[in-house]
Amino acid sequence: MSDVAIKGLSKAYGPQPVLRAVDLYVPDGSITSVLGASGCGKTTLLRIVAGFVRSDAGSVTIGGRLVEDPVTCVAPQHRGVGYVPQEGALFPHLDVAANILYGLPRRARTKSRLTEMLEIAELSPSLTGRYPHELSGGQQQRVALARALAPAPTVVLLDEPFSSLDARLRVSAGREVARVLRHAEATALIVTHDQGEALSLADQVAVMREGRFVQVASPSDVYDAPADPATAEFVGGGTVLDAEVRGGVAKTAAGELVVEPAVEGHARLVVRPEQVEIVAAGEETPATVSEVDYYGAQVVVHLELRDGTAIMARGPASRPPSVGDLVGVVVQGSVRGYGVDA
Amino acid sequence: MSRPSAALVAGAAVAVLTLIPLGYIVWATVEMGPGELHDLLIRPRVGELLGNTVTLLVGTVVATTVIGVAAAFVVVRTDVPFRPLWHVLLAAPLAVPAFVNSYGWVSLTHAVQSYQGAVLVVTLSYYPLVYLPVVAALMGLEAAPEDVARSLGRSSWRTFWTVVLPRLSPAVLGGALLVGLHVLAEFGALQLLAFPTFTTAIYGQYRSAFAGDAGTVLAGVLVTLCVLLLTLELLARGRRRYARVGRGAGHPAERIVLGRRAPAVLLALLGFVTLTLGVPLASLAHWLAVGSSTEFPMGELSSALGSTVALALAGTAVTTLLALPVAWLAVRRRGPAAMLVERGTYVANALPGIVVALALVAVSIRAVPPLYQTLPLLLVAYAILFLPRAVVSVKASLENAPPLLDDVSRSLGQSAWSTFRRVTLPLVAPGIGSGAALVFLAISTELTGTLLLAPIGTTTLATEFWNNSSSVQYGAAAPYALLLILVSIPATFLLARQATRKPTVAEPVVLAA
Repeated sequence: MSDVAIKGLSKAYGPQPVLRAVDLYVPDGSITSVLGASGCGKTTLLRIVAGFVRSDAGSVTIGGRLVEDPVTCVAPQHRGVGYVPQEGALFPHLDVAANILYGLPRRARTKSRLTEMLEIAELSPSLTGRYPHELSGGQQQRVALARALAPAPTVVLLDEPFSSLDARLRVSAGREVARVLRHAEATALIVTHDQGEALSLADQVAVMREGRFVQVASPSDVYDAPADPATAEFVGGGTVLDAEVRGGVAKTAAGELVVEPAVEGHARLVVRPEQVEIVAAGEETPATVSEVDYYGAQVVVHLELRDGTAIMARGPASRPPSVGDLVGVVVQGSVRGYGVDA
Repeated sequence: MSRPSAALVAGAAVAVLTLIPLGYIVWATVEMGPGELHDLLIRPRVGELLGNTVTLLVGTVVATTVIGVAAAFVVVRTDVPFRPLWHVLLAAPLAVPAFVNSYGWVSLTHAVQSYQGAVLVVTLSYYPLVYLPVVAALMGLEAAPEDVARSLGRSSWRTFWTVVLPRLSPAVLGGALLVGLHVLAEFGALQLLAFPTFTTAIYGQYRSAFAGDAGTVLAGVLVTLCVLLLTLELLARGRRRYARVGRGAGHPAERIVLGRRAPAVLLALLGFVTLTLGVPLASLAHWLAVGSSTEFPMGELSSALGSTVALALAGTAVTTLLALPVAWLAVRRRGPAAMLVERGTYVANALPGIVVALALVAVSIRAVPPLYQTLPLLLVAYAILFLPRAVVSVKASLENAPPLLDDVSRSLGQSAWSTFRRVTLPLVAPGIGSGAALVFLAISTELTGTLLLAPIGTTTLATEFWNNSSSVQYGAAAPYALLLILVSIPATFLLARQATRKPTVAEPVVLAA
């Protein structure tokens, strides 16, 4: 396995820029997820790294070897990248064994290699004779991963690998795939629009918006210190309030809030839903319950402050309020502030 | 990327080849000048032919579509008894060439020598061209949308009209287009039925004046009709895509339980099969048994059989090879250029074999005289005539091999060639096989092109049959008709099986990147 370095990568389809001078470094043996809404350019980035699409400018280096720049273009089959597309895209005319061994030279298509790959992908040996349409979605996904890993690629690219699975399966399949990747000490690039997936599976999260990376950081940094309010809303969600900050404190409809990092003047504040605590009416900032989303262990409460500002609270579901209740809200801890050039 | 441009060059070359006959007609028409053109075009004879051809076209296309869709629905979607048997019987008329079917009817009663008779006989011969693709499409149709429609309060009848039929429309339109093109090109059957259309009229003109201007003008009108038909189909198909959304294997629809309606449906099927197979086969048996002119010249029969099979095999190989780049372009490089190439290859299919043949004669004599009356020229004629059959099948199977699988294969270290050999080819092979079967079928029963282009001394089953039946020696024609049917059976069987074969592959759903 080896590292991937992407420098100044640009791509446009006609007049429409898809990637705008993108930089990304994926360290050897680590997992990076590229997180973004659909149409932000993340799949194009992956396809350029894989060699299916040419870039307009910039370069891609895999394990110190230049594979893509305006004059160089190493063909996909010579890049040594494993590719796991959406839905797995198993070869429908081949059984599991033939799918997994597909990328190996004829002599290397041995029973022992097959067994090894089945073990890595945590697939039962009884599946080897099955055809793709006889497998569950999760099994198909792991066969696709085993197929990609079998020729020992330098890097594995996964394009929305779990989007075809149902919610419960998605979490377990994600965990399994991450475990397989770590076990194989693979360098991996996972493209996803699911923030939970991006944060839980990867060592590094690259948040993409309109063809640019707005933040490349560890999952906890992306969540705790999002680069801007839009990133905060996309990753984790929350309420964005406009406020004046004086001396590190902002007066808002939700009360006086401590702002970090210290900004002065016009600012946009991000209040995470888990920071908002609901208390009895009277003592604190009054609010009216406008909607209650019940999730079993958790409850998300949408509140309306007196001036009409909407704010969201998330907490344990013991004795949730009812719609129309008059309650008080308290914001715990400091909130992220982003200066606005007025 | 070298492949797309190579495919485009190859596809364009094939299209140019197939457009030679058309080019010849246009050139010859332009050459004769507007005055003569006007005189030849504006006359009662042309009006009469136009009326005959268009009414026959409309009548048969409507009848084959209704019958083909209804028969496919009964076989695939109801619990009618003996379903596999009915499927074979309903596909079987493909093995009876239209002119043999026509011979069966005409030698029985001259009452079919009318418009109604022509529609009847041609419909009975050509409805499988709608039936087979609709069976295949119905079997591949996921039932969930129908379930949804029923749950939204639609009756089963309205569900069929609003949810099933629209998704079948590519198959129905494709089949109807093939029927239309066949009707425009049909010669033997209509000649025996004494129902003059442009094609039979052109034959008469060419027989009397080799490559006279009158025939060329009629051919020009015929080509115009063909282009109109292609345009109509294109407009009807539009830009809609009927891709399945979602994933998983899907589930087939529940069969409709016929219950007390079963006897009526069985009776209808039995009556229909009696018309399609019973009449021509009984007539053939009659002439084989009692015909006074019947004889079995074994030497002539076996030599005609041998040359028919050899010509059909060689022609099929050439045609299938030429269809590959065209289908590839149409599926993988969608765009105006690919569309032009694909539609270009369709045009020749509406030209009667004799027009293609004479155009090739004229062009070869001017450009490459040594090719005149040789095997290669005959094979080129077959390829031009039957390319659409191969293209339609190969195209459909290419849809089963999405480019995403190529990407995966490339990322696994396989070259473009290796990817083609290990992924694309196995996935498209069944389609290529059925396309080849269609072409084999067509060539082994091809009449007019062979009559004119075959090297001197080469006789086929079709030409021998024609020589006898057109001179009203029904008995002498019978053994050749029997052999024509026998030769066509394996390919027909292959096609019938292809249409109902359970897809062993779950089509991966490919979402746009």
